Amino acid sequence: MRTRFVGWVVLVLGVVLAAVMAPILWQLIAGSLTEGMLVDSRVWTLENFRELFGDSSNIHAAVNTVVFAIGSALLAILIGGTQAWLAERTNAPFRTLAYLGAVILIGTPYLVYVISWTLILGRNGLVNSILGRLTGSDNPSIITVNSLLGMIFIEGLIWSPLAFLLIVSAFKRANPALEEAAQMSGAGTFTVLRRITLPLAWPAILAVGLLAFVRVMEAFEVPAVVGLPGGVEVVTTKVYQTIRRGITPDYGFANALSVTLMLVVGVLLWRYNRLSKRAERYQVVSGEAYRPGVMDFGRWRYAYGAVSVVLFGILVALPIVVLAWAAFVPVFQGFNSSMFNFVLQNFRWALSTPSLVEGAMNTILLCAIASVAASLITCLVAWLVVRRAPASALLDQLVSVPLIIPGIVVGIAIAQVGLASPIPVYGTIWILMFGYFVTFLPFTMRFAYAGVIQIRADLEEAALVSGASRFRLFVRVVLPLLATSLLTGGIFAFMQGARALSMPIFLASPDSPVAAVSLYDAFVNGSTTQVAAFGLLWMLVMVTMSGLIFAFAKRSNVSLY
Amino acid sequence: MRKMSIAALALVIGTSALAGCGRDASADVSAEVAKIDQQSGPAREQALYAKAKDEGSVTWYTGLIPNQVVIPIKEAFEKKYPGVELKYYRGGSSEIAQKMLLEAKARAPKSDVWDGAHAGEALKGARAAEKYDSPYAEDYPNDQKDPDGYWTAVNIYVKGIAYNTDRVKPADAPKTFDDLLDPKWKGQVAWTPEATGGADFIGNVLNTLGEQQGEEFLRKLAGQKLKVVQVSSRELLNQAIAGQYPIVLQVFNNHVALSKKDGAHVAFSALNAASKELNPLGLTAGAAHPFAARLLIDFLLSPEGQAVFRDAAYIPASPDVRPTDPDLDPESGRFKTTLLSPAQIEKDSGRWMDLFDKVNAG
Repeated sequence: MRTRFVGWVVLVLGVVLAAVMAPILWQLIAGSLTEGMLVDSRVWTLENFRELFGDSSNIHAAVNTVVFAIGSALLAILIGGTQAWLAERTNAPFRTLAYLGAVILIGTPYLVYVISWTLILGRNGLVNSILGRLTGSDNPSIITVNSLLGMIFIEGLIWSPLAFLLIVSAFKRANPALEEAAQMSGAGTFTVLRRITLPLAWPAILAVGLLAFVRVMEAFEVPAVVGLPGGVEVVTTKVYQTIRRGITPDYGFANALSVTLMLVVGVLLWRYNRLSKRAERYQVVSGEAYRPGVMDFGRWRYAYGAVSVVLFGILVALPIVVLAWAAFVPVFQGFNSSMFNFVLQNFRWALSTPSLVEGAMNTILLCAIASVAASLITCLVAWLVVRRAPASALLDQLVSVPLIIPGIVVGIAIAQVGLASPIPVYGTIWILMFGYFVTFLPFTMRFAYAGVIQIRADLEEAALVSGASRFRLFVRVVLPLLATSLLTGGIFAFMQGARALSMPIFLASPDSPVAAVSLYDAFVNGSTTQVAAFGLLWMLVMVTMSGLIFAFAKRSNVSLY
Repeated sequence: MRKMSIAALALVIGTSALAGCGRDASADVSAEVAKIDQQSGPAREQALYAKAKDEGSVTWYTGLIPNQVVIPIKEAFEKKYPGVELKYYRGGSSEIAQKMLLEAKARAPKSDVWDGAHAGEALKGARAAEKYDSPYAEDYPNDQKDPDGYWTAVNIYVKGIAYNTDRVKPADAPKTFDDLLDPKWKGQVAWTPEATGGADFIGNVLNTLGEQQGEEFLRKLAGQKLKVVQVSSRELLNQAIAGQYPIVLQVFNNHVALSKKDGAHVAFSALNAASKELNPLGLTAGAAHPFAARLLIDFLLSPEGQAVFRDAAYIPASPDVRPTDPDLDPESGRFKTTLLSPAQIEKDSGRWMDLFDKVNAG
């Protein structure tokens, strides 16, 4: 792959991607070494880092972050692992409910899911109103969700579908013949699980745990909605508060905090990559007679089936039912005399609120355009990387940069790029589109890469031998073969973008609203039931998309995570 | 790739052309504004309205609560001036000031009109606000407007504590700052980390009790383990009404009155003295709709606009329009107030924030 054409393509792509990534990294790194707002003072200082490590409240936030991330990752693995084991290794009824749950949860916007759990566990929520009834206490909050424990619970649920899907694929790689042999030698269910299944899947589980840990460290929705009202701060909310507090935002300190967080995330993700590569080495070579074998529980299988049903109930059914319920009542207060006083006013309000309706339209439009742009660029990059074009490894690195930048940090960095830009883009829809584009690159790259790898090089050679130019070859041969992978990757990136609050929270403006930020504003201003109504509609749209992408992923033979 | 660079080029040329037009237009605008400012009464109103109709809309960044007062204002304004749409964005007053400051820095102001207790002096200082002349402002007392003409108070805020009357017996209700130190309220009192919440409470304590006695009180208050709730003060009051916190600090007296009218079990107390704050109203520097902005400012400061505040149970700033409920009116003499002026807020708010952190650290 050493033609002039390819050389030019690599050069142009390199320049474009560097022009995208460099200002972001510059604002963060240079910004962390200057004080106050924007890198225009150019007085270099380590003051921000001194403040960072010198203030006990920052240490406290860091400790909270670690506890939060460990707790949530453990819970996610416990739930997802149980579901994966039941689904892949047993004949318990209802075990495939976990797949349905994953499709629904992966589509559900984080914020909507979190809000629904605050309706269940929050003050005046369902659980507290039931406990109040039972104990006769007039205290409306016998349990408090606004604590580290509450945050861990909800965040753990959020990441359980990821754990489920990844552990399922690990189980699929393992050879069930080993388990069958153990069973035939007289080992019981739990002995097999403990001695065979878990040790084989262990590296994969460890890798999943690390990935979940990193994702939770970057999480913003649960800490903002659940943690902040209870005064529990983690690093992402600390970054948020640093900017929001007072009138002149302290970008310098926020940058220092962000750079530190990025370093930690970068190191952990690097460890993750090594771990998951090692996990693949645990693959048991399976022969021709490979078939998924299952454990027969006999009469007990209904008990195990009940576990699947209960998990589905907690993960999916309960939050959706409560969300729908809140959407139809004027004031949500759990169980009380007016609990069945159903009205439509919340939907009327939601659909007549410009920031929400416009926000939903903008989200769909922006994420669609950004995902198309990211897909096109990364499919070119993926093709060059797979075919080992010169300097293509550098391109691969460039599109992977956003992986280590948490959403809220991307938002802050791009806000600063926008503020420093000579073209007035701050507060416009263009800066949001840029933000989505940047965050989508690693996602679309993954899918494009998986797609290109499946294309045999001899197809391309045939085209070249028949006289096609490299350009013609890419457009007429590679692109059509990649179509399904690109579509899957595009929709996947679209969904990741549309459901997140953290990236756009510092970029959306009253002039260019997006759904997640408008929903958060409405929630903070106390319009809970209206937020539930809009959240329900928004969730329906997103879950439909999620269904589509799972269908496509199946067709294109790409694993989603 | 080529198509993309052409598009990028077109974008750059397009935006610079737009920016160029904007510069020429701004000279025209100031000439036009000077002409209109010489007129008064209906002639001024008609001239502004004609221009505003061409602009089509006006964007207002406000700290006022939409369903209590902004929507009634929007309805009254749009009814009076068909063809001029009033768009609004609600946020905390420092959030609004920050948004405008950043938009000014990016040379892309999105708002035309703004208000906010903590916004006035900051925006004036950062040149994100622009001077304006409203004939109605002349009727307002001098201590309720900026001597340089950058803002006029559009309404008055009175803030004190509120308590849930189911959770706090009338006999137990705090009547002075010191009553908040009663051991039975340990962990029962909540405030917000917004500058207009906890920090203003501290400012009021220091103003009312004096620096020394005030700081002594705050030291003791730190032992009460106050709850910090990251919400607007309207939502904090909702949480007190819902019973989550028996006592909440630095909430608006008119919000309590509105909720009481809806049957909520809640009461307001000024303690030693409630804090009285102005809500400065101003024009955004480089506003995209300068005429519609002036039309809206005139409307808000006019007796007609002030009446909308009164009817929404807010405290109008105009000396000629008083609240229907004298219990809300700081001029009625029914309760004591201490003024937190915009100038003092600008000067001391940072220090109050630091004290706020200290009290919460225990």
